Amino acid sequence: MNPLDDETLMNRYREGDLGAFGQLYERHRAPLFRYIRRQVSEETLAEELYQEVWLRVIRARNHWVAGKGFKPWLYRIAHNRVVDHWRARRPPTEAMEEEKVVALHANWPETWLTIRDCVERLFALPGGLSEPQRSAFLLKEEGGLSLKQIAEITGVGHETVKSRLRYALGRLRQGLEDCDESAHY
Amino acid sequence: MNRHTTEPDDRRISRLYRLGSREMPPPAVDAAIRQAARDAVTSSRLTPGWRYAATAMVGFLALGVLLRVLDVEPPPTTAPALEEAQLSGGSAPQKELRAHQAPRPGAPRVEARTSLEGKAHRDIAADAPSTTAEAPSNVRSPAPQGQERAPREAADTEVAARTRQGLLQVPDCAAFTPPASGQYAAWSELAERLAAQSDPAALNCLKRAYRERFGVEFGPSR
Repeated sequence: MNPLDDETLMNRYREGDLGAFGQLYERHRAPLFRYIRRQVSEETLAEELYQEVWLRVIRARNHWVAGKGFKPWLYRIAHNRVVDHWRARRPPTEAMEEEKVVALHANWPETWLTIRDCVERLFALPGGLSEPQRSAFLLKEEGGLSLKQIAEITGVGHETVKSRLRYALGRLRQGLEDCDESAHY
Repeated sequence: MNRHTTEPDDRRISRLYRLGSREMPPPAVDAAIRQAARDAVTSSRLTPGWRYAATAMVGFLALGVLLRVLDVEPPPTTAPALEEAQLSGGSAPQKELRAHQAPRPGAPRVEARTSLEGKAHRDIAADAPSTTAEAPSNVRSPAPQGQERAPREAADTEVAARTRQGLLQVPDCAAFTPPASGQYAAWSELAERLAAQSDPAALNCLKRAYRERFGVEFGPSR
């Protein structure tokens, strides 16, 4: 039996089918969590934001427009929540991240032994990827969204998204090349 | 990265990124979100029921308030005997009597429900001002034929006149003495006399006494 698409599941959940929400949640929980986790330095804060996003989905389920797709709507909520977090915490975050950048470059790349460490540090530190580049890459990689959808969610032009993705991939390539792929766990 | 494709892509970077990205939300967070989804569905299911219950409750309360208002201030009513007499008589003096029974300034208000029994009427009459205390004199027991006819007629005329003036209110049948005879003619004669005297209260007492004694309504059909 073919799995039901997101829109059908969301419609069913709106009509009171809790099982439909279960399927929908299972399908998107991990990518959405990583999308947030990669953009927020503190794990507990990422968990909070992740929970808030789903609570907003639940509360706003009756306002969701089926024709525009579920996944872009979900990631738009998440993106807005993350941006709000950036705006609210920018001054202390910048100060903290500056210290980490110094440490990062001092030890680069000898301390990155595993691919997991490489990925975490690339996303955790400003020296790895800028916020817009991170956001664009994660929307594509975790959300599976198209350039057009990413442009709509982030509120920038199509070419800007392409440019951000290009820079993000270049930076990741540089940061991941020397990592030990076999020792990622 | 393939720079000739429409979208920037790099399968190797994507693979490496996925190798290093296995984070999952904690089970506690999962449970909280699932519970929130469950609660939302449950509350939605209850909503129509609660709406119905609330509507029913409002309607019930409105009905209760309406009934309470009607119960607190019932329209002033006259004693049933007097009402019955007014309905059966309906003469000009009786209309005048109704007008006189409107509450007068400074006078205690006497209100009675139409469903009250005769005893209750008597209680109300006993609590009434001095005019009401004269009520028993309103009803005279019919004297034997030919005895003191003139004084009795004079007294009855006086009672009727006072009734018309509104000085007498609720009649009290306790003082009414019905005919001892079981003959209809005796009752009919007394009724005619009371009617001629425009004494509806006494006439009503006669009807009541007849009904209680014979179990049928007073009337020529017997």
